[in-house]
Amino acid sequence: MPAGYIFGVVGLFIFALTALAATLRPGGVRANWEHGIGLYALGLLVYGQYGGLYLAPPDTWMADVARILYVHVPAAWISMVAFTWAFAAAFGALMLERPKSLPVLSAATAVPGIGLIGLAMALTGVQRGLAAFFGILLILTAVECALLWIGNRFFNWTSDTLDHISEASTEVGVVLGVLLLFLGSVFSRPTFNVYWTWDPRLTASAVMVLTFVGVSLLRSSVDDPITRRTWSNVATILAYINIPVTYMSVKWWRTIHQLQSTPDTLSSDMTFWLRLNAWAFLFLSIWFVARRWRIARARALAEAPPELPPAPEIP
Amino acid sequence: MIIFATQGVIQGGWEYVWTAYITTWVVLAGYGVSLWWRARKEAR
Amino acid sequence: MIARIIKQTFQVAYKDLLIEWRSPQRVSGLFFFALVLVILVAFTADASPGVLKKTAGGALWLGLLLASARSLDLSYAIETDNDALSGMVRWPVHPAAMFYGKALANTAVLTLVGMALTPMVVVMYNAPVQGSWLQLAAVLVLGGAALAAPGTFYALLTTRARASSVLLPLLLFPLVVPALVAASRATALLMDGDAMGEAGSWLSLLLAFDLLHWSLDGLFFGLIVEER
Repeated sequence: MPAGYIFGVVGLFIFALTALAATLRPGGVRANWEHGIGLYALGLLVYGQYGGLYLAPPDTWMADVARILYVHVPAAWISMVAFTWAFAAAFGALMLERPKSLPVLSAATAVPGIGLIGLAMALTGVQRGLAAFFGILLILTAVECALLWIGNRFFNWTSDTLDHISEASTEVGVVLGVLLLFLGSVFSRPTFNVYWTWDPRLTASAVMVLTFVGVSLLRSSVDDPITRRTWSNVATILAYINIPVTYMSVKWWRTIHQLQSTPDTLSSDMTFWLRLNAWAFLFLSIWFVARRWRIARARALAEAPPELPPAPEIP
Repeated sequence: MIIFATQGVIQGGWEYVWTAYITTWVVLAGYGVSLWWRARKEAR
Repeated sequence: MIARIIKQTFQVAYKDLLIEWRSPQRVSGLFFFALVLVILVAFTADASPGVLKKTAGGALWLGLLLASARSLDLSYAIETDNDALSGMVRWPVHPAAMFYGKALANTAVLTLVGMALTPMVVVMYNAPVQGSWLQLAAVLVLGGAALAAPGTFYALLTTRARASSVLLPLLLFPLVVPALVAASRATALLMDGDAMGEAGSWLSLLLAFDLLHWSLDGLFFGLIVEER
């Protein structure tokens, strides 16, 4: 059986190739370049779900009920990924309102980021983890700022482009999140004999989804486009940063009562099907985001005021 | 894991598995169709 | 620059508290609103003393949270009525000063209401405070601050949105889940004697939440005030 990664590498390759070809095409960006990755995702999804249903071995204790995990866990992972896109795009949208600061910020975050990674090498234990975490965070910021600068400089990205991506990703994340909560419920019933376990992860996910539902509603209930852009992007950033705090608090809250561990003991065959389905969900959500992004863009174009007629010549 | 060890292996449960998979397909396909539908509405 | 911002912060806080002082029916209304909620929670719970005692901390903070949403709405009603906010922006008040001033005033009001509400909860839920009163006071101040900072922020964020009175709780309540969990757990533990000394770790979680939101929200407030 091939390693699960190969399917991801192929998908990312298709994605990069189609996106680049569409962007660099002489006659302007070609419409609907995302269908390539969409078709690949569909094929992977059919294969992955068939495998999850019939080819994967039953779990030692949960037997066939564990097959729910092949849809539940990918939905959980990829909804989180979609919210991460929403966060990164919201940050980008705010930054692209001041594109001149991008190279400065990129350099200003790259240098201490690399320094912290170097420091992490020398440290051990919790300190190492903390240094590495903040180092990676800073380097990711630097990379994003650099990418934004390139996009703004050469590919005509604007604040609106990223705002629409953030809008699209939020919605995709909410759809996957609602699915994840429902599937969690379906999984809990036969395994724990309740429809809802107040498991820290499940509970924190529920709060997370609700937060982003709020952000989505904020976006749809502000009329002025520029106000809407700034406000919903700020709300997205705060909602995302709040996720780890929520998780921590719910985890502590649960430890006081009881701990109900979700089984993490999976055989390697099971992880293969899990990864395959996760890749399928990832590429499918890329397709979703791209489609939703087009809708957002069309809507913005429709509501933009018509262009002013050329100024009359003054004799 | 203690819960499982005392009660033994969970028997059957295929109805839950089918519920999960069918819901997944309905939600994903439904969202895909809604995107297509909304895109068409915007194009008009 | 920093000195000016700090001065303006206290000026804005003073202004808001002066308005509250001149119309005391607002704070007292808030208190009675929270009190009614606390009583209603008792009605929905089991009336046996053991259960009520366990619900006490949660009831107190649920009452305060719902009251805070009402109070925050009003806190901007006074600013938007005569478009006083634009006046403040043009005065010019630094956005950070505006945020911290309003958040300080809201914290003061919430803490005050919480301090008045605690004896009521203690009596009605038969939950005498067996832990340290000092720690309980710290929970009230830090919890009030934890509700006030994101509240002040989101209340402005929703002023121009349609159906803002529905939107504010929807945005705010999931966000303050950590604060609500920490504050109500700490309160419940302190009422129960806190034999294991766990209240301290909840207090530190509350402090972390406060630090996160008092720094970030102040940073972003300038952006959303500009766009108003």
